[in-house]
Amino acid sequence: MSSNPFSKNLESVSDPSDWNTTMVPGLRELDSLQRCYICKEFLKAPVMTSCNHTFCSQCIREYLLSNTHCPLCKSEQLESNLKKVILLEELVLCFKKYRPILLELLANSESVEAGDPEECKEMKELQATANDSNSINQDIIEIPDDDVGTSQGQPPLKKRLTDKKHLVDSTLPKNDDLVECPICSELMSAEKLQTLHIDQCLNGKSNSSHRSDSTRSSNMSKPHTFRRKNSPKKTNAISSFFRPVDSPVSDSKSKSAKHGHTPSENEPLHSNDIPVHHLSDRKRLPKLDFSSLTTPRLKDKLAGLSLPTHGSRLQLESRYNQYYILFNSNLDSNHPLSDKVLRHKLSQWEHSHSTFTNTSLFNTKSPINFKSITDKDFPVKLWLRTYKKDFKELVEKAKLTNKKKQEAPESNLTADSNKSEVQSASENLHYGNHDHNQPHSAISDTVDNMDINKGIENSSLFVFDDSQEIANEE
Amino acid sequence: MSTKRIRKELADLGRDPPTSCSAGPVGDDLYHWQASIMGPPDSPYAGGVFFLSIHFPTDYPFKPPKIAFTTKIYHPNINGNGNICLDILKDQWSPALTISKVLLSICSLLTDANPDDPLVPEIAHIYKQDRAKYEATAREWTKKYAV
Repeated sequence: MSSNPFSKNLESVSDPSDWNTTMVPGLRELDSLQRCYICKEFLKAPVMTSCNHTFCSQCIREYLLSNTHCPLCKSEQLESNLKKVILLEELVLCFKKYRPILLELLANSESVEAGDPEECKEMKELQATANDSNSINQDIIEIPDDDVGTSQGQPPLKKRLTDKKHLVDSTLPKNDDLVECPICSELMSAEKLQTLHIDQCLNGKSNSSHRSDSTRSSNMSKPHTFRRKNSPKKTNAISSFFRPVDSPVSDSKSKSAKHGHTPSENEPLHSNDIPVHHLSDRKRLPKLDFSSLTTPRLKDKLAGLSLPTHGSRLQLESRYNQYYILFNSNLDSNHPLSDKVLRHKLSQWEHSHSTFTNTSLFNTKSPINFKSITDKDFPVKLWLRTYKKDFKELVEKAKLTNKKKQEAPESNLTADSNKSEVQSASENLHYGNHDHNQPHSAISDTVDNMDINKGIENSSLFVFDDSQEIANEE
Repeated sequence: MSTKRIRKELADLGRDPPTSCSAGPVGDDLYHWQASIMGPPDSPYAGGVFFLSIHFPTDYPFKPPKIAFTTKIYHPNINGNGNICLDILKDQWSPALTISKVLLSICSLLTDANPDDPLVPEIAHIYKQDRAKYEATAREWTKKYAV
């Protein structure tokens, strides 16, 4: 609605329909496939149910707190059966990253269309690659800055990007003035190799220099020492992707490591992927049976998680549940957040919910908002009078969408809108407007409209399909 | 989450409106919407415009929205208060549904009433026994209240 106060914000809402106006409207499908059925956002820490449907971990966990079936196919579901889908998360993150760039590149501008389409395409591709190669800095900016509620996995992504940049920067000069040690493949200045390093390497001391290299600070302080193979950063970038799968293995490794080696020896190896490493040996939070838990014990549990313990019993319970969802879904991400961030999210959630119940429900000016429309004594007449203008607007809108459907032979709209339809259609014809849908549809009675009707049938089928999606899958 | 999701649906309705329906917030409350449905052409409600009120719960989409007709309508599954007897608004609600899909479902409920699960037994009875009478009354009400 043009008059509503929300219309300003709506342009920033990302939606599959964003692709409708581009040169490849079909990307709409790719876009919507990567979205969660529950929150309609891009999948965050996606998990799969035992019926093979995919949702954001947080969404489906929240849903399964109070339900026991899949939102899509209604088959019985247990939270414990959810399996994370690592590759999908990376795919979505990747798509999200390039989405704004793609949208911009594929924008359907008139001037571009005028030229030779092939040429345009080539030009666009060129632009794309050019943009790509110098866009490491841009990427960081162009990741849409969602609010905290959706930014799961983003800080690590940014971190990775900066890491990548760092990697590229630091390895750039290697071909010019560095030489490779024939023994350990480390890169360094020729002088250093000859005077110092080669002797150390032959004496088997190169290990110690590897260790110090793997921490970033020492790497910076020795700008002429780089390793080509098995660079710790590269290893981490890749292993962070695979880590969740082999987390039990790494668990056992770290256990055996504790027996075999001193902990200090292991630490530098993990110094670059702090969040992932810390969370790999995390246990999920248990679901609490509140009915058998006294308030002091519940407070103990919350305190044990460093969560606030004030508020009513109901608040305590919902606080635990919300943290339980946040915490466990966080473990499904390849790029989990720290506990501190989770606690911050929790407090934001609580804050927004308390302000909601305080202001939105009870402090609104209109007396109508006090009551639900389903209440018996809801002041329908007052309501209709108050929002008369809005209603008019809605009717106009509905009529507009009806027009599009009007071509169907059996559809009899009100005489009024029929008239205006024909009128506007003849106007269109008069001015030689060759917009295909509008004029044809309105004078469907006089034109052979077989094709058009087919189109309509299809489109209404499409709508129907959409709404029956769930029913079909049952 | 609910605010974000509702805003998303609002944007979606603007960009990709469902046939014969429209919906939007009332005043400055994002959780309180109104909607209008054009009476389906192949039903006795043809020509009428029906208004509905929509209330989103704070835990939307985990809980269904409350939807009711504010325009009087003669229908076996819609009572005098405008309450709608529709499974997807109650136990069959799924967070994967949207307002747009629900409005389309209500549209199809207007075309195909479900007299076996009535909210107003009297209308359902007439619907089953004397379809012509039901259609005449529905048309009459539509003329009286919805045009």
